[in-house]
Amino acid sequence: MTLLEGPPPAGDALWNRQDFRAVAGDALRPGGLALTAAGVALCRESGLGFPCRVLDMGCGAGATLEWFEKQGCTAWGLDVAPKCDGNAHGTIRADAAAMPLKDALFDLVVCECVLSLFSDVGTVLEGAVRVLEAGGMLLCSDMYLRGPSSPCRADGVSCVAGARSRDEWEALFAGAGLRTLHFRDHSRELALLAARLVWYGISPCGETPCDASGGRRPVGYGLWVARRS
Amino acid sequence: MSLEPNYAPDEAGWECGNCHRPLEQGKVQACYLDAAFDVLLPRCPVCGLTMIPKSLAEGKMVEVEALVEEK
Repeated sequence: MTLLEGPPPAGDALWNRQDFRAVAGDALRPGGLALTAAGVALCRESGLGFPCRVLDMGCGAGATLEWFEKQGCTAWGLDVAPKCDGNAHGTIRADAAAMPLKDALFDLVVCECVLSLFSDVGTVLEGAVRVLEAGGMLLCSDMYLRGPSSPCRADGVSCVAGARSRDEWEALFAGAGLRTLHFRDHSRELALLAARLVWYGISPCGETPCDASGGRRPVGYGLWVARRS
Repeated sequence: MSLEPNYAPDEAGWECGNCHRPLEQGKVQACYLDAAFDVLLPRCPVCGLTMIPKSLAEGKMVEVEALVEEK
């Protein structure tokens, strides 16, 4: 594997803050590992062989990588600033928008609350599809706009700002060569995380704590399974 | 890392009506629907009876309940 220098991480991003990690856990996203397991179950229902070879894009602290390894999978993580602490996890420091890996290496690519950080999601998805075997699957969970669409404001720091409507997400998947197989709404997990942030007085990204639940934008949390066409 | 908020009584001088002991700040867990939240609240050191200050009940608890219930 080639190690590449990615762009500098957003130092004040929510997921880099110790207080957020104390509240959200190392999974660093709504639903945690239970949502990962639910998504994998959907993939298996749709024919994913398991254990499998999996790439976790935006692996962060490596909680998802560890979960997959415990299931017997061969798991690799990609992150501009991986925070896995010198254990056995295979991590690659690289920018997901400049996928450094060879074609068709994986059966499953996982993007958990990551795509919303990119303004050019199409390029990121094209890289994800390229490293998937034919028939491989994308497991994605992310913020989505539940009400009337408004312009995406992805800034690389706030996943809420990068939320898109469900239709927009699925159009991006299709544009990259992915056919959506399943969608599940998990907005309650987002609300529970937002409630915990409010309770413990943590303000995401300098905004008011309520913005973690969408605030002025009607934001929900969705889970998608898509297959490489 | 300890994050739990600390809510003292809105007015000093509270004691337990059963044990007649002054309330002390202690860690308790508030549960609402499927969510649990740690907090430091005044409670009886003998029987554990816990007081929720009005400011907490009408402030942060209302805010959190609204978030948990809205989706």
